[in-house]
Amino acid sequence: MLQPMIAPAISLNDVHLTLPSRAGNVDILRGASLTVKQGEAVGIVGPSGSGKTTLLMVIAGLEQASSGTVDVAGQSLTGRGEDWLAAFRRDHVGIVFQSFHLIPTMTALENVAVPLEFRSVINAMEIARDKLTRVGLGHRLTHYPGQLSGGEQQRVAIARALASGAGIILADEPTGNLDQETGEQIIKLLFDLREQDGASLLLITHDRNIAARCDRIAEVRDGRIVSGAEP
Amino acid sequence: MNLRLWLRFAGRDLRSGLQGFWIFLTCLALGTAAIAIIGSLSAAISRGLDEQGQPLLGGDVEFALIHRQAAPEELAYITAQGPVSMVATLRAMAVAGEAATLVEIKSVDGAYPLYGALTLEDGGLLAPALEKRDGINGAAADPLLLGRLGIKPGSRVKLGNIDVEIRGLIKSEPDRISDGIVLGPRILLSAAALADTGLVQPGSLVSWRYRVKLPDAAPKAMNAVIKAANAKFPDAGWRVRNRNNAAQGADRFIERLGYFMTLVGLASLIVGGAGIANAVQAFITRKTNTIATLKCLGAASRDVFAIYLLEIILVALLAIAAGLAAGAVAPSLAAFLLRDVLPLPIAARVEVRPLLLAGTLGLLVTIAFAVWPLAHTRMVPASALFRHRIAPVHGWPGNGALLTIALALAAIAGLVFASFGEPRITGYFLGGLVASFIVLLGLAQVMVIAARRMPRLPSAIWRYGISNIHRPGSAAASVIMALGLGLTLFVTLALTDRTISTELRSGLPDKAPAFFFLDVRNTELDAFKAAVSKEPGVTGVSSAPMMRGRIVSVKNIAAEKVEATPDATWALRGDRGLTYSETLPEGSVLTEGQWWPKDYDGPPLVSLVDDIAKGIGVKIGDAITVNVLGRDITAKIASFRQVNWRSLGINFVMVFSPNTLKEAPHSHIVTVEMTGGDEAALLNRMAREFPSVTAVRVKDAITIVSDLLGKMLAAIRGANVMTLVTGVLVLAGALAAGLSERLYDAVVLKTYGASRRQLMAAFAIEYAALGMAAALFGLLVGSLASWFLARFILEMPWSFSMATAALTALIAMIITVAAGLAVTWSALSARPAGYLRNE
Repeated sequence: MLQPMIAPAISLNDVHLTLPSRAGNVDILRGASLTVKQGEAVGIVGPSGSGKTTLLMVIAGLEQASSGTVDVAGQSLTGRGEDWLAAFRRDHVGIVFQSFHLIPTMTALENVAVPLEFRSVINAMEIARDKLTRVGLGHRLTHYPGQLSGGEQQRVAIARALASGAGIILADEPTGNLDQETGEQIIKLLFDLREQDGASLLLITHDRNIAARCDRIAEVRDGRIVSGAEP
Repeated sequence: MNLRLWLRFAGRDLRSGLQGFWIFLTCLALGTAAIAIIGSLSAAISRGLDEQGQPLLGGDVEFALIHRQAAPEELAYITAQGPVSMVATLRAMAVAGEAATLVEIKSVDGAYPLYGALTLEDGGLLAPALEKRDGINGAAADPLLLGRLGIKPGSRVKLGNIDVEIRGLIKSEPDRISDGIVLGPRILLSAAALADTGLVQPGSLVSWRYRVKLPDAAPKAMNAVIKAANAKFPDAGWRVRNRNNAAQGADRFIERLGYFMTLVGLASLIVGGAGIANAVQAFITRKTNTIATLKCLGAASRDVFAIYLLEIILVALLAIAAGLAAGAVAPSLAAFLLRDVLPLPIAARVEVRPLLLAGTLGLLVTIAFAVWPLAHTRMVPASALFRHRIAPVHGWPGNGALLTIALALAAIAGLVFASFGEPRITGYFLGGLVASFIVLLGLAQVMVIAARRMPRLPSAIWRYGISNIHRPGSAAASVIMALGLGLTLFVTLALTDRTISTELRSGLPDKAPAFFFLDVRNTELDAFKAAVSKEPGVTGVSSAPMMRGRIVSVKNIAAEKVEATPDATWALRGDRGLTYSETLPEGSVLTEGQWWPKDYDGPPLVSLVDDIAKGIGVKIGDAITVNVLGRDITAKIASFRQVNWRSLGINFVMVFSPNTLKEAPHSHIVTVEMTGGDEAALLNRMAREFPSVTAVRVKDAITIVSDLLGKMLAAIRGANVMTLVTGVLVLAGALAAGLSERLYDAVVLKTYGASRRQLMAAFAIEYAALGMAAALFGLLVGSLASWFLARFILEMPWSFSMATAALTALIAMIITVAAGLAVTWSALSARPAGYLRNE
C-alpha cells in the first residue's frame, strides 16, 4: 500500500546566499540543500563561519536566499515581503537564541505571550502561563528577565518558542551561554517538549554529544551541507 | 493588530522608566511652557482688560471730544441714554514755591466713577476732598506729586490762575489705563475748580469725555447707541469708545509683544525639536535588540513603528502636560506676583485657547521631529539578533514618514498663521527657519566631505577626532543642527538686546530739544518766545501752531473702513496733532508733489508723511477729511514729506495750507533747545510766568518710553536664558545620541591603552570643529535675523557689534560644548571590563 505523501517541514534546494560587502560580494551559502521531515529533530554542526546560522536565518525567513528554493511548513518563502514573513514566523516558527533575547521590560509571562498577542489570541496569558508552568517556571511568572538566572531565561525563551504552537523550532546554540549542567537541563527540556508537541527541531550546536541526541546530524562546510542533508 | 495592543506594548516598554528621555522631556516641556506661559499671560491680560472694561473706560460708552465740550443737543442725546459722568483731562504745570512739574489734570463730576471705585490712601471720599472750602478748591493727587514738588498733604499748589489744596492721595484710579500714556502725576479736581484755573481756553488741548452707564448693557444695545449717536451727529468729530476697547493701546501692545515672544518660544521649541530627534534616535538605537526580537516573534514593521510612536507620544504628553501646567498657573501667579508692578488687570484663571495652541504645537513638533528616527524601526532587520553586534540604523525614512513630517510641519505653519494676524512676518519667520534647517544640513555635509578629504594627520588623537566627523554614524548633522539653530537664536536675541539697550542708552539725538511747551496761546506766543530765549543755556526756540483733529474719511471712505497697513493704522485712530505752515517745515524733505505757494488762498491743501500716505493708500490729489473742533474739513493732498522723527523736532503727520486752519482757535507748540543751563530752573520760571503753558521735559518723556522698552528687554533676556538652556540640552542630547555608537570603540581603545583624557581630547577636537562651523552660521544668520527684527519689528536703528556677536557665539559654543563633553565624560567613565564581559 502506498503511504500518503506528507510535505516535509523544511525543504531547501540548492540555496545560495550572497551578501555584498565593502571588500566585494561574500558567498555565504553555496548550494545548500536540506530536507527535514515533520516531527524530525536535526542537529546542524560545522565549524565557525561555515554558514550554520545563516542557514537557520534563511529557514526563518530572516534572510532571503539569492537563489534556490526555500519551502517551510509547506509554504514557499521565495520573494515574500517583510510583513508576510513576520506573520509566517508568528504562525509557524519558534526561535530559541543563544543570547535568549527576552524583552527586558516585560515579565516572563508577557515575554511568552508576545507571539500569541500578535496573533490576537484571546487567552494569550493563560496559554503563556501554561507553557511557563510546563518549563518549570510557574513560580516566576511576574519576574523580569533581569531577575532570572541564565537557565531560567532560556526556559522562558523555549516556552515562548513553543507558545504559539509552532510546528518548527529553530534553536541557535541554545546552551552556548549556559554552564554544562544547566545546558543539559535545557536540552532535555527542549527535546521533551518537542516530543510532546510533535514539532520539528533544527538545532545548531558545536557539541557533537547534543547533536547526537537528534534523529539526524547534518554537517555544514563552506556554505554547503556535506552530509545528512536527507532523512 | 489594534490600538489597544500597541498601547499595551508601549506601556510595557515604559516600565523601565523615563531614563534616556530627560533631555527629550525637558526640551519639549520648556518649549511648550514658553508658548503656554506667553500665550496665557497675553490672553489673561486681554481678558482682564475686557472684564474690567467698564471701570477702565468709566462707563459702557464714552464720547470724547478735543478742544470743545458737547453741544447742548449732543449732551441732551448722551444724557438721554442713561446716567452720565463728565470728565475733562489736560496737561498743565503745577507750581509749589520754586518747584514746578507737569501734571495730568482730570476734572470729575459727582457721578465719577460710574463703575469701579476711586480710593484715597486715607480711605476718605473723593467728593469732600475736591469741594471748595473757604474759597480754596480741593484736589486729590498721585503721591508722586508730593515728591516732585517737595510738598506734603494739605499743601497748596498753583494750577493756572488758582491755588488748590492737596486733600487726598490717590491710591487707585479705576480708569487710569484708558487715558493712554501719562507724562506726569495725576491731579483730580472738581469741574468747577478746572473752570477756575483758567486753563481751558479756545484751542486748549482739553479732552472732554462723557461716559454713559447704559440701562441695557448688552453689546447689541451698546452698539445701537453708538450707531444712533453717529447717525444723529455725523459731524460731531467725537471719538466713541465702548467698554470692549477701553484700553486699546495696551491691548494691542500686549498682543504684539505676546505674538513676537510666542515666535521666540516657537523657535526655541523647534530648536528643542532637534533635541527630540536626537533623543528618539538614541532611544531607537537602544531598542534595536527589542525591535529585532519583536520582529522575530512575528510583529510586522508597522506594528513596531506604531508601538514606539505611541510610546514617544505618551512621553511627549507628559512633557506637554508639564509645560501646560506652567502655562495654566501663569495668570494666577502673575496676578499675585505682579499686582504692584504691572498696571494692567490680569484675569487669574486658566486660559484654554493658548494652552490648546501650545499643546498642539508641542505635539506637532514631537511628530515632525520624532517620525524620522522612528521610521528607522522599520529598517531594523530581525536577523540582527544573530549578529554579534547590532549596528544602529540611519538613512532615508521612506515616503510615508516624509509625508507625515511634511503634514506636521504644514500643520505647525497653518496653526501659527491662523493664530496670529501677522502673515508677512510669520511667513518670514517660518521661511527663515526652514532655510536654516536646509543650510545647516548642507553645512554638515560639507564638514563631512571636508573631513574625509583631509590629509592624514600625524597625531592619533587629531586623526581620531577628525575621522569621527566623517565615519558612519557621525554626529555631525545632529550637532551642527542643534548648535547652529541654538546659536542663531541666541545671537539674534543678544544683538536685539544690544539694539534695544543702545536705543535706551543713546536716548537723545544731538540736537534734540530739551523741552516741548504746549498750549502757548496766540496772544502770549511772542512774549513766551522772548522770555524763554533770554534763559541761560537756551540755543534755539522754534514754534508751530497746533490743534487736535481726527481723520474722518480718506477718499470719501470712512476712516474705520480704510484698509491700512499695520504700521499706518495708528494715524487713523483717535486724535492727531495738526498744524499749518506756509513753508516746508524744518526737518522735512518733499518726496512727491508740490508745496503750496506763499499766500496761497485756494481750496484746502494738505501735506502727508510719505510712510503714512503709503500705508493708508492715498496718492497726490486724493481727498482727506479731518474733523477739527466739530467741523469737517476736506483737503486735497498736495504733497508727501519724509520726516526724521528721531530728531524730536516739531513734526506733524498732516500739515495744512495756512488758509485752512489759521482762523480756527488754536495754540502753539514751542520747542526749546539748550546747551548747558539749568533745565529745572527754566521750567520753574516759565511755569510761574506762564501758568497756562504746559512744559514736557524731553528727558522725562524719554524715561517713560525707556521704562516700557526696559520691560521688553527683560522679556527678551528671559527668552535668551531659555534658549541657552535649550541649546545646552539639545547638544547634550546630540552627544548622548551618538555616544552609544562610540562607546564600543572607546571601550576597545581604552582596553588598548587610550586614556580617558585622550579620548576626550579627540571628542573635543571633533565637537570644536563642528561647533566652529555652527557658530559661524549662527553669527551670520543671527545677525541677519536681528537686523530684520530691528528694521521691521522694533523700527529702531540696528546696532551691530562684531565683538558682541562673535563673543556671544563663542561663549555659547564653549558652554554648550563643555556641557556636552561633561555628558560624554560621565559616559566614558564606564569600565571596559564590565562592558566587554557583557559583550
